Amino acid sequence: MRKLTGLLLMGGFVLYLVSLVPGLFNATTPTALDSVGAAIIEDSRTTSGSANVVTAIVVQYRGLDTLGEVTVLFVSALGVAILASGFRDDVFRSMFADDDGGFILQYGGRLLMPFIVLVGVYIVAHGHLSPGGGFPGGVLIATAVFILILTGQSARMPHRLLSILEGAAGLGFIGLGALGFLGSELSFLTNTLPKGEYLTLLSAGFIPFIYAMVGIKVASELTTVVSVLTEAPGHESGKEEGRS
Amino acid sequence: MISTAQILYITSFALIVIGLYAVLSQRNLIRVVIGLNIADVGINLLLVTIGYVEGGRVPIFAAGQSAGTMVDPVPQALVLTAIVIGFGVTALMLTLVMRIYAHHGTVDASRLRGLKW
Amino acid sequence: MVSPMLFIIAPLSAAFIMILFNSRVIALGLSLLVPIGLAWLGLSWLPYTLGAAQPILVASIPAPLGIPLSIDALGAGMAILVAVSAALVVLYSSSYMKKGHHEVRYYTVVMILLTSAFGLVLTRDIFNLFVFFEILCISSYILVSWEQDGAALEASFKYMVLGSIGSTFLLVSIALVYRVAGSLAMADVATALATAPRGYVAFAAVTFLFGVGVEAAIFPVNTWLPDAHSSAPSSISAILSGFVIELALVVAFRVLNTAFAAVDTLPLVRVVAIAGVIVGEMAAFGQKDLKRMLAYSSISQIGIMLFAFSLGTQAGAQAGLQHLLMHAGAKSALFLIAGYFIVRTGSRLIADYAGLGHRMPVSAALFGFAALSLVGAPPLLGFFTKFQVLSAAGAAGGFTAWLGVAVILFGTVLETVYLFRVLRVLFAPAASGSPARADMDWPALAAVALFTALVVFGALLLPTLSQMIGPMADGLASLL
Repeated sequence: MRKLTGLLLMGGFVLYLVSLVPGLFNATTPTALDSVGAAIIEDSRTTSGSANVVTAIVVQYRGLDTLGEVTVLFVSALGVAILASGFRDDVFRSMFADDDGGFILQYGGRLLMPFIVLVGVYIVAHGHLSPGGGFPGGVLIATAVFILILTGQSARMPHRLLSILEGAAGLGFIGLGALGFLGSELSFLTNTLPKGEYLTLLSAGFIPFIYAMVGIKVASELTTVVSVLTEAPGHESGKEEGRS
Repeated sequence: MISTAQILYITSFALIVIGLYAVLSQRNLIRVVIGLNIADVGINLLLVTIGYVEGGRVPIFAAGQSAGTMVDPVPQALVLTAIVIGFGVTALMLTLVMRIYAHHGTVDASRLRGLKW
Repeated sequence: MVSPMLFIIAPLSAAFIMILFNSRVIALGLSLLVPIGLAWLGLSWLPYTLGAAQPILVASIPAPLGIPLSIDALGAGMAILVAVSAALVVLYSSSYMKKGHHEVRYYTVVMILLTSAFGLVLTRDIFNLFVFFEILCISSYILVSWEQDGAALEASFKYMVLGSIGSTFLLVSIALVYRVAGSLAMADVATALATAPRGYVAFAAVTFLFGVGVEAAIFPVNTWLPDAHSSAPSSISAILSGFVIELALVVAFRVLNTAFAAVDTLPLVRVVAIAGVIVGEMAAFGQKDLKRMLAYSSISQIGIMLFAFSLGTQAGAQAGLQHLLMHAGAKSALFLIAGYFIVRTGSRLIADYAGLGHRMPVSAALFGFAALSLVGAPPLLGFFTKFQVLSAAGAAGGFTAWLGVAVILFGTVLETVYLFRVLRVLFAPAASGSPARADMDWPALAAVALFTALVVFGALLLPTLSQMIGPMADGLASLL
């Protein structure tokens, strides 16, 4: 019955799409941009000073979307933490290996960790010059923590510190945006900082700083999500027993 | 002759339809989440395809390079947002599935009273 | 003047500050002060917006390159409603929610929900709309699962799956629109879609309606609502039923009516609205669980508002908005009182409330007033708003409008029967002696009394209110 309803609904959707084909898939791919994107490419150098146009859009032109995006991440990390705190039984005891991963994995992981963090920081800092920025960089930094967890040496994460980082980075983003209220146009998220020299590390005004805030936020939130799930009470007690 | 963009359009809609079909037909909650993820990927592909320009290059300026034709940067920024939102929802859903499993000992929708739709 | 950007910045900063300090006092204080401050901000902007919408510049970049925001009479009005309801619900929560356990996190999520609610009324950009919709959805999922019992977890998962399907459709619609319009600003979208192929626009519009319809609980995609609104803590049920679905409805209808004006979706909307009224009332009629009954009643009330909007006339839009105001007051009060009924008796079933009116006389009396207003009993606000919806439909004429009138009248009969059934149980003679009086705690009682005062004395204010709601109704058909 479920499958039939699904099939019928999807069939209708597909049929409608097919009927749209002439309008939707018109024969040629455009050879020139005629959207707002073309105007932004023209404008981005003077308005944002960022060589990476996508970054200019993400942080400045559509900065409000990014603030929303960071909020989505914040609230879902919070939701995961709330839900994970409710685990009472030990159904997930066997989910993460009880053995500690062994000498090579443990020390290999620890050796790798600073380099991963370094690459992450590099990617965050160069968001306005090359592909990357706060989101991928933050994820990379969080990976360093995942490696510790995967190699079985997940000391309890400093959750309090993580949530302080989350809150402070969020306030930092809003604070940098509120600098715009100091300008003449009284507009939130205006890039008021000096633009610096084009194509250098310290350019593009507040873009690298906002991306740094985003990087901290993403890294701390992903760490929260993964650590609260692996630290579920069942798992913890399981590990204790395994060691004794 | 089918162009690259046409192939991408067809692929993206196929992914969306496959994903939504999985959501509606599967009884295992994990598979439902996977179905939603497949649909998400389809949408991201659709968005990027919409910004595609024949022969366009990455919208990043570099020293000593003329602007030339660039692809539309706006959909790429939108995709970034959509990916992050997709991640947030997936993380929350999987945690809920874990809680439901811990509570009822099953992730089979047909054996959960509240999950008939 | 204080910038209306504060509607977004203030609750969001409050949420971050709460997480930073992790203290109950700070959390409770901020979540009371911020909505009150924002209600005042909305009131101070209202006079300026009654004449013309005021654009808000973001990042000093005007549309279409940047994200256009704007505050109009409708936006200011909805913002005031949201802020006042939120302040009252927080006041109620201060005594209703269990102390200690995740309390700070609860207020944090409520603040995020408020951020997205204000963002939705201000934004004039379809992708920004999607982002705020997602924040609204995700914070609602979390709040629905709050009790963390089997029913709440399942309800939240079901809500999440439907919500995610909805946002998939919404994003498809946005992608299709961007392809022809080359811009995400609603004003550009409206101009571009006017010349686009009709089938294409119709597809984008229907996908959009389906996408936002999930959150607005429009008829075929509202199956999550009864579970979600009844499993959530009662304070959250009041938020979700009191302003979240109404807000989503207003925003969805406005975008459909303006950006997608190239195709006439009103007949389709009217049909789903009428279906929602009848399905909601019939389902509510058979419920034994009080909160489920109220949730089904929300489905039918949403149908009435959508029906009024879909008439496409100024009178219809105005009547719909007035009914929205009435429903926000009455349904919030009913859910909040139901919360204490459940606390005092430990049961959700109406049958277990026999004689509760003697134990909780004030609460039961307030419940009676709110219920009577919802039904549309004469001196109360509900009578006037429902009457105006019906007369607007009569003035619009046509088969579906008269069908709607008939369905709403039939629904009113059902509603009267099932709500009176509850009242009869409440005031039935107590079975075992007369237990000690145990009304609601005073913060909760104050919040509920204010909600009820709106529906009881609202009728007196209606002439004044309608002068303001008139310009707001124009906002449903305007993009500025």
